This record gives sequence, structure tokens and C-alpha cells, in this order.
Amino acid sequence: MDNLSLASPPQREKLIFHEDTERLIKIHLLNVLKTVITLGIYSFWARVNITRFIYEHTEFQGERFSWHATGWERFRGFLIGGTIFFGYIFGIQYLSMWAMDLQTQDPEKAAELFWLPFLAPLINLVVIMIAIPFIIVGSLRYRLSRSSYRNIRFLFTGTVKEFMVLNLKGTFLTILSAGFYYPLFIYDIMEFRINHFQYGNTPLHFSGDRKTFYLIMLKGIFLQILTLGIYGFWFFAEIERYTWNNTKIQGKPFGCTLTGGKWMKASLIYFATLLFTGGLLAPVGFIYLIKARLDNMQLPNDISMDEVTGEADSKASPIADGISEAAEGIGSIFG
Amino acid sequence: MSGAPVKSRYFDGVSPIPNTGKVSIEENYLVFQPDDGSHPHKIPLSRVSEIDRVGDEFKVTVRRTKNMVSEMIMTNDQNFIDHITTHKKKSLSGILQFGFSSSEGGFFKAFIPALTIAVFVLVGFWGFIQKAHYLVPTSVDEKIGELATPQFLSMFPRCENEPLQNAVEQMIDEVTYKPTFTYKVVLIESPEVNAFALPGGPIFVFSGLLEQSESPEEVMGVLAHEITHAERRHGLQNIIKKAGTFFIISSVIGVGFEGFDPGMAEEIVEIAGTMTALRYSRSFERESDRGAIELLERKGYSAAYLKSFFEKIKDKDIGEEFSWVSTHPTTEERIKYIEKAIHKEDGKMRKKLPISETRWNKLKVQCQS
Repeated sequence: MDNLSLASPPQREKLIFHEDTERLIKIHLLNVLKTVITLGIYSFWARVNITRFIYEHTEFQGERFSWHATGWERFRGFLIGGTIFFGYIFGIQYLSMWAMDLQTQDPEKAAELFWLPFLAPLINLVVIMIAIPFIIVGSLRYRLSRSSYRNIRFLFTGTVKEFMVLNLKGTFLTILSAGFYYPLFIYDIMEFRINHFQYGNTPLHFSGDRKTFYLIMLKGIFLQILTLGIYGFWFFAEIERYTWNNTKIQGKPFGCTLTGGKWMKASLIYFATLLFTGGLLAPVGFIYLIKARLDNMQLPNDISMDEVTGEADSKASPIADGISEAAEGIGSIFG
Repeated sequence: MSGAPVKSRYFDGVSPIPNTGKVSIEENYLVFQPDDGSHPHKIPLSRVSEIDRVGDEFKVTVRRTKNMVSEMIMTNDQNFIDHITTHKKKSLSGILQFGFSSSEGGFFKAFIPALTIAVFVLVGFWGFIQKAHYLVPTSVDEKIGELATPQFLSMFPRCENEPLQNAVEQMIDEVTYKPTFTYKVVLIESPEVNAFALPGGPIFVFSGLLEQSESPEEVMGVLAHEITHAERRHGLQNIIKKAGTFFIISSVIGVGFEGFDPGMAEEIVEIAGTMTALRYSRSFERESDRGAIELLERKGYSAAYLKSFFEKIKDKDIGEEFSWVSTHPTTEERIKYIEKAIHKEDGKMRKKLPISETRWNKLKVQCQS
């Protein structure tokens, strides 16, 4: 199990997902009941339980992955993130109302402050441009910092500033090109994510090319329109294959054998269990979904483990996830 | 407490290659003795944060130190794990046990009581969201209306016509009875046959609706319907019930699957939530039709005009444009309902109108663009 530094020709080995449907059903049923009993608070622990189940049932070269997050830290992240989110929403609403009141109560003063009605939308725009990178980078940092293999943590080294520049450039060029730049924007995000992904001190490297990716995206978008979305399964599988087949660690490539057919079958089974059992037997379909993705993943089996050293991201926090959860919750209630 | 050393692997969090050796419990410590004879490693039992069954082995996680690196001991000795679990449970009491997690526990022992409590909580919660709006002061409705009005004003062109505005306001005064809120009319210049009430008082009336009316009573019927929406606090009820329903559905469907699920659970939660919200919406409409009839009859006006307004809309086949019934029961259903709900003597009612039909016919078209 530990002869990992052998100088054998580069080859890949499949990830193995050990299905244990009965255990997942038990975890899920208790998650549902405890979430109801605690009026939703337990959902943070529920998420940790499911993620931990997946990690601990995924094996590579005889060792399982681990998930170290706790329900308590996720709940705390939600409380802090939610306070920030709601504080901002109320603040901006107050500013808008004050500007409107001023127009009716003191039109002269309002005329002097002619820029006031544009202030709240401007603040919103700036905050969105900062918040999206903060949430995406923060969430990646948190999730990777809580994942490990052989007790070596994963890390995300990208910064909010880097992603903000990428996001601004991508949004600007996408608008300017009437959407034609969009596939390259997605490519840049993918490259950013993978190139800042580390296993301990060992980084991953993305070696794709923009032209091939652009053609995959064009074909995917066109065929999805033509097939009323059905091609989406094949599109997803092709993107997955492209991503992993062009990702390397220590110069050795990952691999992916997921096909559209496999993904469609797994997705439909999962959807059926969600729909027809009111979610109660969703773990049965969920296992299919996870198996389809993980069993089709291949990792290089000749990684020099003695070159890997553990590193930890002590500043990774669940606040970004908390903000996004608060925003999603409000979005679902108010549409 | 002590135990015989058992075979184990120790991951220090710095190297991915584990040390093999034997682990034992000595007083309040886990002691790992590497096979290579190097110095034993002592870990206080108080730092053990999790015990999980992973495949054929057990994983003992030792809480992370200051630099975030946690330690991990893998063993397949059940007795050893039982020893640690017992020790942890003895040393921690009450709330402190919350921070320690062990996957070893009976499912049915937890399931039956949890199911019983959950059923009670669900029934109680369902009952609560049906009545929760009574706990909220009416000033909240007014605040919601105040906040939402500017957004709606920015969506529609206003019709500034004082005589028409006064006439509609006069009709509102006629059909209200001990109102909770002060009703303000906002006339909208649009051919759409529509009207809606925001919580706390603002009522938006579209010029298309006024033009389609054949008598002031028809408009008064629609206004009475909108006033009932506000008086029964349907806007606030909608927010509370939608939030409550969303909570219940999302607790059952896909709780914990986020991140791995390609958005399907979320979509089903959205669909189920929307369907429930529509059901609420239809029940609010029925309640407002009933309330409108009560208001009109109490003030001595015939509710038959509300029915005739629906009939006209149905006959003219302009239901497509009549968007304020899009989340409503069908016009046919509403006509039947109103027919049943109207009192027998209603047909004889014809109180003197606040505005003559001749004047109304002149006024109602003044917003035409």
C-alpha cells in the first residue's frame, strides 16, 4: 500500500466509490428528522454528514479520503455570513428610501444631490463585483482546506484579487463581444481553479488549450438548443473529460471516462427518486450519481508521495459559504 | 484505564506516508509506538474529536493543533475503539458531548424517537405558519407596502388624472368597513385589465380595467376584492407561508446533497414550493371574492356586478390579458362561486352610487393613451 515512489511508467488508477446505500439512507433519514426537529439548524450538520459519507467511501490506492468540516463551524459561518448579508440588504434599502424621501420632502436639496439616486445602484454594482469573487474563492478555500487524503489537506491558493481581475475582464469582454467571449471566460475560470489547487505542497496544473475548449463549448451550446437540452448530459460529460484529461499533478495526468449516456442514466435515476419518493429515498439515486462521477475518475498511480508535505490554510473560513447560503435562502423565498 | 497495544497506522498530517506501529491507552493518553523503535508518541485523549468507521477500519481523528494539522490513527480493533468511546463519553458530559462525534450508534434507537418528535414539530409548525401573521403588527404590512411601492411605480407609467383618482378613492371609501389601513389609489396607464393591492394600503388600478367596466359597481366589486386582500393580510401571509413551506420541503428533499447534486434537488424544491404558493394564492383569491361580496352587501351594494364583470370578461374572451387571475381560480369557477355566495335578496339591492353612471362613463376613459 505504501510503495508509492516506484519508478514505473506513468499510468492511471481508478477512484473507487464504495456504495453503501443502506448506510446513506439511515444518515439521510436521521438528517431529515433532525433538521425538522431543530427547525432547520441541523441542516448544517446534515451537509457535513453527507459529504463525510462520500469522502469516506471514496478510495484511491487503498486509502480513503476525509472530510474535516464540522456542523458547528458551518452554522457559525452562516450566522456571521447571514448577518453581513442582511446588514447590507437593510443598509442599501434604507439608503434608497432616504433618497426617495428626500425627493418628496426637500426637492431643492434633492436637486443639489442629483447623484443620490444613482448611489445605491452604484454601491450594489461594486459590492457584487467584490462579493462574487469573495464567495467563490472563499468557498473553494474553505472546502479544500477541510478535505484530505492520507491526512494531507488540500488547499486553494487563489486570491480574491486575482479572481476579481479575471471576473471583471471576462464580464467586460463577454458584453463587448455580444457573448462570443463567454466560452473563454469559462476556460479562464477553470484554469484559475485548477492551477491554484494543491495537494499539500504539490500543485495541480491545467494544460488545456483555449481553441479546443471554445469548439467544445460552441458545439455543446448549439446541440443543446437543437435537442431541447437533452445534449446537456453529453455536454457535461465532455467538459468533465476535457477538464480532467488536461489536469496534471507532478507532471502526471489525471483521466476521466464519464460518458453522456452514463451521466444521463445516473441523473434520471436520481431525479426519479427525488420526485417519486418526495426525496426520502433520494440516497438510492444519489449513489448512482456519485458513482457515475467518481468511478469514472482516474488519478496517476505513481505520485511521489515522499515529495508531498502537508500544508494548511489556517485562514480558510466558512463565512463565504454562509453569505451564499443566506442569499440563496432569501432568493428561494422571495423569488 | 489501559488496554493491550493494537496494530495501527499513524498519519501525522505532514507526510502522506503513515507510520506503522501499535497504539494503546495509558491513563488519559493514546500512546502510539512505531514499529521502527523510535520514540513513542503520546496524545491526550481529550484531543480525540471523532471516531468513524471507514471501510474495514476505524479512524480516530485527533483535533487539529494550532497550525490546523490534525493527526489520524487507523486501526481495525473494535475493542480498542470501544475503550476510547467509553472513555470519551465518561469524561464529557451534557453539552460537551456535542463536539465529539462517533458514528457508532444504533439507528433505530435514534430513529423512532426522532420520527415521533419530528411529526409533532411538523404539525405544530404547520399550524403556526397558518396563524403566524396574527403575531406580526399591522405596521409591518404598511412598511412592506411602503418599500414595494417605488419598485412597482418604476415598472408602470402613472395616469395623473385628479377627477378619476377622486372618483376611484370615493368608491374605496364606499366599500370599506372599519378599515385597518388607509387606502391609497395609484392609477396606471395601461390597457391591461388588472388591479392589485400591496400589503398595508396601496392599490394599483390599471386604466384598462376602468375602461372595460360598464358600471361603477363593477369597479367597486374589484376594489372590494383588493381591499379584502389587504385587510386579510394576504401579502404577509404569503411571505410567511412561502418561507414555512420552503423550509419544510427543503428539509425533506435533498438536505445535505448540495455540492454533489447537479441542481436537481433545488429545482424540485423550487417546483414544489411554487406549486404550494399557487395553491395558497388560489385560496387567497377565493377568500377575497367572499370578502368582496360581504363588503358590498354590508354597504348595500349588489355583489351581482362583480359576477357580471367576470361574465363580461369571459364572454369577451379577454382572459389572456386578464393577468390578475393568472394565479387565480378560473373565471368560470369564480362566477359559479360568486353565484352561490350571493344572498338571495342581493339582486334587489341598488344603493345610490357615489358617482353617476353618466359621469363614470366619461371619466373612465380619461387615462386612454
